[in-house]
Amino acid sequence: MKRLINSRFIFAIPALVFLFIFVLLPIFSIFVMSFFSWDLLNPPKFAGWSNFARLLEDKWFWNSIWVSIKLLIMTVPLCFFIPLALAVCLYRETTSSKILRAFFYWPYMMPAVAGTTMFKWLLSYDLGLLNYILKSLGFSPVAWLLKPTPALFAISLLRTWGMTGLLMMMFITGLQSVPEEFHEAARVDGANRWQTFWYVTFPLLKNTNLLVLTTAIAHVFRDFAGVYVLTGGGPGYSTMVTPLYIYSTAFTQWRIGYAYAMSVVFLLISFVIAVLTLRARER
Amino acid sequence: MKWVKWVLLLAMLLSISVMASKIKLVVWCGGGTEREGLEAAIAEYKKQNPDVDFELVDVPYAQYEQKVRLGIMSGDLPDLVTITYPYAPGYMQYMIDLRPYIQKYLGITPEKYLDAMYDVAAVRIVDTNGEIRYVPLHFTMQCLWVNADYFKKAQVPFPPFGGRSDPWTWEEFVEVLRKVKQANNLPYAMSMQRTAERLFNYLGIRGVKILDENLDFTLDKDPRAKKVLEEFVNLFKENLMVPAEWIAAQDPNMAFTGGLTAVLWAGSWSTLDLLKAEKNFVPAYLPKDVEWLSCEGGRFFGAFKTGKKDREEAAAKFALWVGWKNLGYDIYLKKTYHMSAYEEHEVDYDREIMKQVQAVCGRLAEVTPNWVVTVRNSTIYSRLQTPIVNQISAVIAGQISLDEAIKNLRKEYDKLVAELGGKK
Repeated sequence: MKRLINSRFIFAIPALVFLFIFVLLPIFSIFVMSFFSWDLLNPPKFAGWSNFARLLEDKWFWNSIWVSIKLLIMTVPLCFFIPLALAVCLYRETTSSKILRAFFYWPYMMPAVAGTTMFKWLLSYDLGLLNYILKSLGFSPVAWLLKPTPALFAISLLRTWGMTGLLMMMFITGLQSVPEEFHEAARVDGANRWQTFWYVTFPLLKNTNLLVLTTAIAHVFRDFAGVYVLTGGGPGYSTMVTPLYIYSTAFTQWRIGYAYAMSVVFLLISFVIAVLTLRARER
Repeated sequence: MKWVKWVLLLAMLLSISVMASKIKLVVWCGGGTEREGLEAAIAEYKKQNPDVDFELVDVPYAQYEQKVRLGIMSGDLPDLVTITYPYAPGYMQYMIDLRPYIQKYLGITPEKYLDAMYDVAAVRIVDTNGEIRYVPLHFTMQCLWVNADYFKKAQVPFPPFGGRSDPWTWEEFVEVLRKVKQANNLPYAMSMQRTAERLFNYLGIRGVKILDENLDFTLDKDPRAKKVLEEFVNLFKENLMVPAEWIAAQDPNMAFTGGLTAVLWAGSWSTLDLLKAEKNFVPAYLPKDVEWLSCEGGRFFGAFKTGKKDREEAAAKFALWVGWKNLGYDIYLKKTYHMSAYEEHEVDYDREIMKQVQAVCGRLAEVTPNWVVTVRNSTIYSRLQTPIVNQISAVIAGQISLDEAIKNLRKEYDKLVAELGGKK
């Protein structure tokens, strides 16, 4: 007992308790409740595998998974390369860099709903600033939120805008940890700026790259607030991402057990994506 | 100085006993004008009933059902709740029966109480056993709002305050929209919020029902349904209605108050917002086709069964006071610019427009048949609303055909009937 109290493990106990209550227990309850049928008003009824059987035939659920994956494919490269480019420009400790970093970080600090509402106004077909500018320049207005592809692109843009600041700061931290001697050695060997970056700096950012990638994937895959406010899943179901579909099933259809079953499947898919990302890193 | 201690102790004991004899009623309500209306009514009520105190808790509309359901599940319920009409039927079983209190505090029979209000309001507050579970708080009817200046420029009269007494037929109405749009060089003619309720009202006027009186799904059986829905979709294709409102859920008030449209298909609840725009907006009759009707709505006030008789009685007494004409109800309506649920009830609003709203919406309430309420009161209709909106929105966006949408709604309907164990 004394050994336990003296060990460093004891300092981890509060965090472990927190993890158990707020992470593991809810995940466990999701698994358990996915086998029940429940509308919050009446007691839960055991439903066996029926929720999962229903899931196999629910085309809107699989549509939402496909939409989430499409959004991932569109957004993650933007969320990687734009912050990287900004970080390369702003990682040196000058006054102007510091001001610009704060400027780019600001969207991340803004509440999601406020930022998204602003975007909605900007992209409004009849009354939005963007279409007003396009019309003034002689172009046709774009149906940003009225057609599937522009709507998905708008969500992608919104996510990128919201996350650029955070991811840029991660890259800056990584770039600042690369010893300057490596850059000097490359210059002495005759490498130009691009070659220095691609062959020296970028490989040394391996761990930072992985962190940025996993952060971007996690944020994009579980995005709810942005899609809910900007498009509500429309037009039709074309931007109905899985978290929004689960929410709609739970809190407008009152199929809580079924929503739990969808959450289980979504969790498993997220886990597969996480494993694939880690495997890609090892290569 | 010893006496100071005793005085303080006595004062403390007195205040505790006063507080203990006061009943504090907790009220869940929507914020904004609804809260302001209730605060004004409560201020007056407390003058007459100093032994009652109130705690108002704002619950945002989007979280209402979640909060109420979680409250019921956990047993942590308020004394009173304002409940919006789609949710009202589902929670009737948890509300106290107000009939004994109607006789006691209003001095009239429950039958006389129900007779005093529009039939469509009375249907909403009575359960299947004839028990009165709610009082009407704010009562709404769908109607049109027109930009009178645009209509004047187009030289088109509108009913009933714009030079025409009878409602338009549907064909006349579409012609009116074209004419007003052209005369004023507008990009669109009419704004309408993307809700199943608007669509229900439109279909009802055209003689098509989503669910009939037996709660059977009829869109795939009624030979007129597809044609009438196609005409609705064509209004968007012709730019008579605003596609962004039904595809991207754009706020219809934006286009109407911004001058992009000449007509707003909304209702009596829009009065306060439209007054703020300070334009010449006037309420008008909905068009008349196979039927002439409107969908009622609003909020109701109910007292939860808490098991504490004194609190239930205090809650019922206040609910009836604030929900009965010429008492707190008038104070609430004057503050919130809502129309009265009671027939022949003159409220002394400070704005002339409210007389017009009461006249238009009151007439629509009189002509609306009860099936409009009973069908929409059903659980199956309330759960179908989201799929209806999503499917029709997808049709307007050109993503799916009308046949596909109707087929998908049929599947959804069948699933719901199986889940609910019947048509209820």
